[in-house]
Amino acid sequence: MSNVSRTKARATAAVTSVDESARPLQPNKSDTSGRYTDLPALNPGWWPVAHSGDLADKPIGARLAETGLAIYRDATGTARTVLDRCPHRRMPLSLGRITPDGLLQCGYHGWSFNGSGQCKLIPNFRPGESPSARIIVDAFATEERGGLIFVHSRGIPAGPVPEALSEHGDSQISGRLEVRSPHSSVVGALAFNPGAALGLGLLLGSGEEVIGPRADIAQQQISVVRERLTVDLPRVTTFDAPVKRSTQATIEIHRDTGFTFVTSELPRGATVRAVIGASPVGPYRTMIFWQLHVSGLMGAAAAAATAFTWSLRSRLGHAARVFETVADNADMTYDPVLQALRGE
Amino acid sequence: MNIGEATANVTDIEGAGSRNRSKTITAGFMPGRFALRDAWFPVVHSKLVGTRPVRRAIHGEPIYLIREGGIVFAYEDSPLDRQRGRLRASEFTAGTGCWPALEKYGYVWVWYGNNDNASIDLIPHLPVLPENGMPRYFGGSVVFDCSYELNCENLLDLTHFDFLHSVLTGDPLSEQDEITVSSTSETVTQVRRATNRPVPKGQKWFVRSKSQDLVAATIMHVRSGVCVLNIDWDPGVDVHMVHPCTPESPYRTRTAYTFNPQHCSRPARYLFPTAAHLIGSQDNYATKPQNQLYQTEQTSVADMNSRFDTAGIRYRKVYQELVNRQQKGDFSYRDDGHPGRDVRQELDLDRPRRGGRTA
Repeated sequence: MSNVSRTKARATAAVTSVDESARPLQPNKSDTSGRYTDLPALNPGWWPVAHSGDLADKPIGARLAETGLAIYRDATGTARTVLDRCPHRRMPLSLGRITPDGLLQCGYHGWSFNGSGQCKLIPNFRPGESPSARIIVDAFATEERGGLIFVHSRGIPAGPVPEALSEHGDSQISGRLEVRSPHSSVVGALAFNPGAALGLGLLLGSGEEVIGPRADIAQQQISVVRERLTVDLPRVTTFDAPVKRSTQATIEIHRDTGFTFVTSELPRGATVRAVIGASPVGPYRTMIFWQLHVSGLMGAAAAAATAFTWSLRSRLGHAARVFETVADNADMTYDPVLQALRGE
Repeated sequence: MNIGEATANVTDIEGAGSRNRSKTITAGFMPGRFALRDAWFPVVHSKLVGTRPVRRAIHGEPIYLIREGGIVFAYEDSPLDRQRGRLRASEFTAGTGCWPALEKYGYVWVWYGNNDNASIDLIPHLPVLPENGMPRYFGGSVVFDCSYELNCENLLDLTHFDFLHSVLTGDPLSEQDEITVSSTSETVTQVRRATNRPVPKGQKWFVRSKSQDLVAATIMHVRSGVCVLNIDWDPGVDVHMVHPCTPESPYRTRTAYTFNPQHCSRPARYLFPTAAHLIGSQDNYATKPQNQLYQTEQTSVADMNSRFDTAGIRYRKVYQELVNRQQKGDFSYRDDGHPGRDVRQELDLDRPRRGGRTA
């Protein structure tokens, strides 16, 4: 299912400047004790959990691998993530508030936690009295890069945060989509036909594959070049496609997390670069965060058109249905890249 | 002075003060998993029951209440089903299809358990209400989206009053604040005595003083979820209240509340019951998502506590002991926990007030 309201707000916002959306990477461990919690159900890596714009002056709730997360910005503007459950009486911390000094305060009794999960304030305590050091909520390693908030699935984060998207291109749109497909199928759909899956065929190509794939399969990363017909129109019996224009896209996939970059070229020198992160929410549900950068005048027009059509498709609930269909098809498709992703 | 400097005078119960003991209690607390039996539940206000049936539930069992010849009957089946001859006739009605029911304090009380043990003496003593109840305006029904155990614990929870409801009940700043928690095999009683608290914003229209004393006495009948409260702001309103937490399902608790405000002007007396849904919605904001996490998250995780959670931990302990006893087939009431005992003194109803009628 697509998150219509959020996507609408994001998609209709359409074109934003790079400088506004980009946030500098801030070191995240200034006031933490280096204690982070594992998410053992996930492969080691950075998993996207929200867009930067989602975090304002209130905490938000998210799910990652069936674990509820409360994400917020502390007093320095740094994104923080803790378990969405107060250790006192299990109230979701995402329903609380952020205190002026940047603590995440539970909405039930007011217990307040810092970015490393340590309880720093219990309202009824006398002035100067500190809560026990044993009162801790699980905290997760969090980084913000290129307009996305990432959580690492291991207590000791390793590996670089995926490269910032905002450094590429001129015009950016972004969106999210919740699909009822397992994470592996979603990654398969992104590796096989990202344009059709996300409804971005005019920018990435979505029709039949005419050339390729040329795959470079490495241990951590898979890179594949595919050339597809730009639009996926039905053919009349055995006649050739009515529109023969094709688009070549380079797809780079991180094997552990499925974090995907897609690059393609438009006429008149415009380039398209898409970043797509997929995070498993449950055993058969995946949240997809995507961003699109398009350069050049033509790119700006294409971005505006994409924002409009994405908004329409999301409102109609079409976007999630299409993605789920592509994901189901990818499961039943023979393709060297998909075979590699499946470990065959 | 802050509540942190208060002394929590805890009645001596085996292991109650032990940190390990409380950890065990909070880890094993599984609200909504067990239906405590052999208790009277106030399911509806008497004045709401007429010739048209009213449906209520206890632990998921349906109750159709109807007045026939001036007497209230509580059936297991709807009138239509009874006409068709469809009778549930469960163990709770001993095969008759009719629940034991009677009227007292303005409520219809229904017995949930073995009919042979249903005694009128086991109805909780409610000295805050007249025997025949209050006028209809002073009662109402709040439905919470949580199990009744969490609702009961919420009523015994001091710090959430100071944080979540501070506009109406006041913040924790007091010159002196003393909390006493005691319990029997069936009840948990908490009495809070605070002096010179700032008058909360919600009461400033009625109270001309800058500070007030507070005596808040709460008696929780663990088996039935009936809560009797005497919250006395002096000067200010003295709220006598009955707050039943009737378990309809693990996700739904009905509170057929009755207010009996004292020592206040007529407008204040009539205005106070309107606070029920305001306070109720604030509580539901917390207990609804809380309930889901207690129902679905692993129950071996122990909740963490501060020293202000004594009453809540005590509630969990008494509740768990009742569950353990009933799982072994012991549904009896022990002498110390008789629900019908006189609780006037426990509620401190006769204490002299300094402010008289000021609200």
